[in-house]
Amino acid sequence: MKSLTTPGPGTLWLRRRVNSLKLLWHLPHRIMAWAFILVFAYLIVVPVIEIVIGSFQVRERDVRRIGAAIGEWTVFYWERAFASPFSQSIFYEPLRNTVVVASGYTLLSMALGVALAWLLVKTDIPFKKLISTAIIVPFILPSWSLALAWIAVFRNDQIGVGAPGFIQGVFGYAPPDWMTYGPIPIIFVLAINYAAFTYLITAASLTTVDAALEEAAELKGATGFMRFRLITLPLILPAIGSAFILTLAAGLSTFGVPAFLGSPVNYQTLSTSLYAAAGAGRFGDAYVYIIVLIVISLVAIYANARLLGSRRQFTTMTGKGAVRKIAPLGRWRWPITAVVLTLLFLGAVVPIVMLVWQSLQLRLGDYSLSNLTLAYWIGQRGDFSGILVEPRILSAAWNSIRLSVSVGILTAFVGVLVGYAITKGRGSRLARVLEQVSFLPYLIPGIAFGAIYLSMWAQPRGILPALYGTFALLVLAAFVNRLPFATRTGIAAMMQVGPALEEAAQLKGAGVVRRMRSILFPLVKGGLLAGFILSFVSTIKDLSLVVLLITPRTVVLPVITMGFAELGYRQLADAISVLIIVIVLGGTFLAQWLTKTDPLTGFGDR
Amino acid sequence: MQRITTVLAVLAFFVFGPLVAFSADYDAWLQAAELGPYQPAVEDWDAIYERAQQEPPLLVYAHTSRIFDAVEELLEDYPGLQIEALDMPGQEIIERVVREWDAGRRDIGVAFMALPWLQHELLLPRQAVTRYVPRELEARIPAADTEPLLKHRFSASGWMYNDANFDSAPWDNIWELTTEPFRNRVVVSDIFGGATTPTHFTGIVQFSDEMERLYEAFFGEPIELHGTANAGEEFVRRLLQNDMRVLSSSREVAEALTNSTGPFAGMTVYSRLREVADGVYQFAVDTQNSPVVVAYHYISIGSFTESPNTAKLLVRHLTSEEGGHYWWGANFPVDTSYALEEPFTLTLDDFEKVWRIDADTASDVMDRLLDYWPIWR
Repeated sequence: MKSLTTPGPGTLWLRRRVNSLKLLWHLPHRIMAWAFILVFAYLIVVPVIEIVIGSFQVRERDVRRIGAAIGEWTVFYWERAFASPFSQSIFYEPLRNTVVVASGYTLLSMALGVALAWLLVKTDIPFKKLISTAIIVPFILPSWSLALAWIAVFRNDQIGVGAPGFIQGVFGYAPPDWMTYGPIPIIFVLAINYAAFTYLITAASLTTVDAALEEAAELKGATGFMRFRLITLPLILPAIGSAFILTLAAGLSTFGVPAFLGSPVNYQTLSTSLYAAAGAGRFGDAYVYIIVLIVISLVAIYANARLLGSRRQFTTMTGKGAVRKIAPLGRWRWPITAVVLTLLFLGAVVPIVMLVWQSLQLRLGDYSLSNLTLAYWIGQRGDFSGILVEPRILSAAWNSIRLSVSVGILTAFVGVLVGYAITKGRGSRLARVLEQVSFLPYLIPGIAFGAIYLSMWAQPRGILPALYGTFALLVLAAFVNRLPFATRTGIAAMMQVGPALEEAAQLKGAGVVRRMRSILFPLVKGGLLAGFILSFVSTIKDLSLVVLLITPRTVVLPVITMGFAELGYRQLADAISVLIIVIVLGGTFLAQWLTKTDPLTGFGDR
Repeated sequence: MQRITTVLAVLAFFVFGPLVAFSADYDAWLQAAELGPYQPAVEDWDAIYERAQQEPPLLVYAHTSRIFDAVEELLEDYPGLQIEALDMPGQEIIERVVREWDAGRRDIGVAFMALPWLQHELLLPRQAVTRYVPRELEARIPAADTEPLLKHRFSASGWMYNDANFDSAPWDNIWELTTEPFRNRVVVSDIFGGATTPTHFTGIVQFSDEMERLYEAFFGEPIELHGTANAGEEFVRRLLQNDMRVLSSSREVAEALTNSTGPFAGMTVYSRLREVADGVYQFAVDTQNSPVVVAYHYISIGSFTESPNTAKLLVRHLTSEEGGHYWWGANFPVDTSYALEEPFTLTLDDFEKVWRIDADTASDVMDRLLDYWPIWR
């Protein structure tokens, strides 16, 4: 006979469930992880599945080529890539080139980014404000403008457009072809372009390294380099890991630089092949490339997670107050400054000056003073008004700002929350799945992503309304596409936050929302800002994602730039590029000022 | 047996039912819009304007930045119309219309772009766009230019030389460009970077018989093919083998021509001569010894648009001498009586070899070129 006071097995089970549910509420990262996985499954996995299935189905354009009906199953596209007479030229060679180029620019840009972050956070290098701003400029610039600037400097009169470049013009020495086109220039330009990733993420994390740790090592007799290798490097490794993945994937999927610098010498990468296929409407081939790129990146993410997961997780934000210590550069101070300033001059100032100057030229390429005009800015040239007096361009500028700010804010916050869910559950399968899923959109080229989102949202889906034609769809598509930027920065930031602070708050009865608002978000402000800037900048420059989703009322600047560039009105296109740069710099400063945060210091007001 | 018939009938109902329903809907729309067989023999433009003012905004997908000014001019003459235009690359317009259509949306009002072969292949079978020719224009132009859709204008691509160095093209026969003196001295933009190069070489392949004849005239012997299907493809292969410079954009082609010394050839669109007139570049088009490949832009009305009358007013405006002045000259109007804008004084009759693209076979030809280009290179 059962006692009334002893609960039966059923009641026990129920109570356990209730308790574990209560526990879940207090450990919300599991709920969050599940929620994110469900939402992302819909927003990300559906497109990926369409891509995978699409790579095995006959597409309308290829009915005659394949000799089968639309939608029939086929391995045509896979066979074409892997085992056909075309495989060598359309797949294996680009794959080889991709591996070479990707290894090169990833290493170089990370070395640059880490060095710059270290110099700015940990040393007494002068002009910190100036340098920290200038570093993100190459990332803001349209990537083709960097490539064109490179060509303008290094070309000789035997290749390309057949005019001597700056070096040959001034020094009479014709640089060899390999310095103008091919893997070397691609690696350099991409490295400069993406050094900002590593810089932003590493700088945010370096600021939180407690100098007490380094001082302890110093007392034990460790030299400067040893301290960096033994103390600082391991502490910022998670950030470097995140930067590695972002840089690698950014370069894998970028098109402009390898197209301009590779195509004249027939140096194709997977991304140029991918864009060539997508641009020609050959989505079957494009899907195969996308899947291969996804696999490459997943391998990299996996290796990265193994590397970091097997290490101890280093907590640098303990809430106990960390001391930042500035190391004097001594007699190297000015030589190092000179090198850094020269690099930034070439990577940031020269391209901007070229863009501004070209936007002021009545006839493109004529650098005489008498050729200067404001016609492309505030006047009238041919059939077109200057960009600052053309209502269509001003409204596009407003749309660009609206779009990239909304996407920046949205991704930054969601990124930190995803980062929270992933780092709290580090090592669990749930966290791994979430991390990988949230990274996938990065590898789907904008044009394919836009096309799939068009089909997905053209009609109401279940309780979700048809978003097609709305501004909300642009925000949603760009948000999902930029999510990886923010999750990586979110993970990097969250990995440094120790559990003690949150636990203390929890003991005092603070709920999840309160803990987020009062502890986590303020602590990771630097990471939030880095996430915001990365997705803000990449959204405002982006063309291929939005071109299929815009309406006449939601046109954004890059769409207009493209039209002008095609017509040969490079000056108007350049003027718009300058406008975009001004907006981005303005937005970045504003974000820093509003949050009283600087990605350099991470915690401006602490 | 009866059961099978029933099943088949049910299946047929589901398969063809929507089609029948669709064509009934389409017919009703045509009737309401006075299009297709219901287009009146004489169009009452006052009535069309009257109705257009009641219509919702017309959505125009166009592959030309000049559409915005052209629309503004129309609105000055016809206040009260609502028109919204988007400028996108032709490939994107097609992708977008197909996806919208297949998802059941009927957003597009006017389609205004090149790539006629893709329109034949993807838009016409869906009846996503509807042919419309203003009656007054129909009376003035060849019927062939109105089928299956109305051609808006012809665009030409051809071979250019630097006229500061030579009075005429420094080659007598196009095949000369595949010989040693022109090694590394021919430029085109990448076949994967825009429509110019694939379109031009598609024309060359479609006129392979002509290319074969030209080959024999130049080399004095029958052509020998090396893994290619015809003389046109062989020409492309030999150009690539002769270290033809493949640049990223047609702007660079113009630049290379301007910088060139000695015999040098570049292929680009005729409309690039606009910048020559502006003094930016220095080159001229060869009208005598090289073929000029002619493609065209269609203009059509989106099926089921709720603004058919606004669409008609726009089509009439864009195809008129005045309304289309942004394009006449750099491109060739279908109505050859229109005045051409300076600096373009040539008409298509001034070119010795005018090779017109055949839209029906262009897709297949181009697919092969895109496939083999990396191999031949």
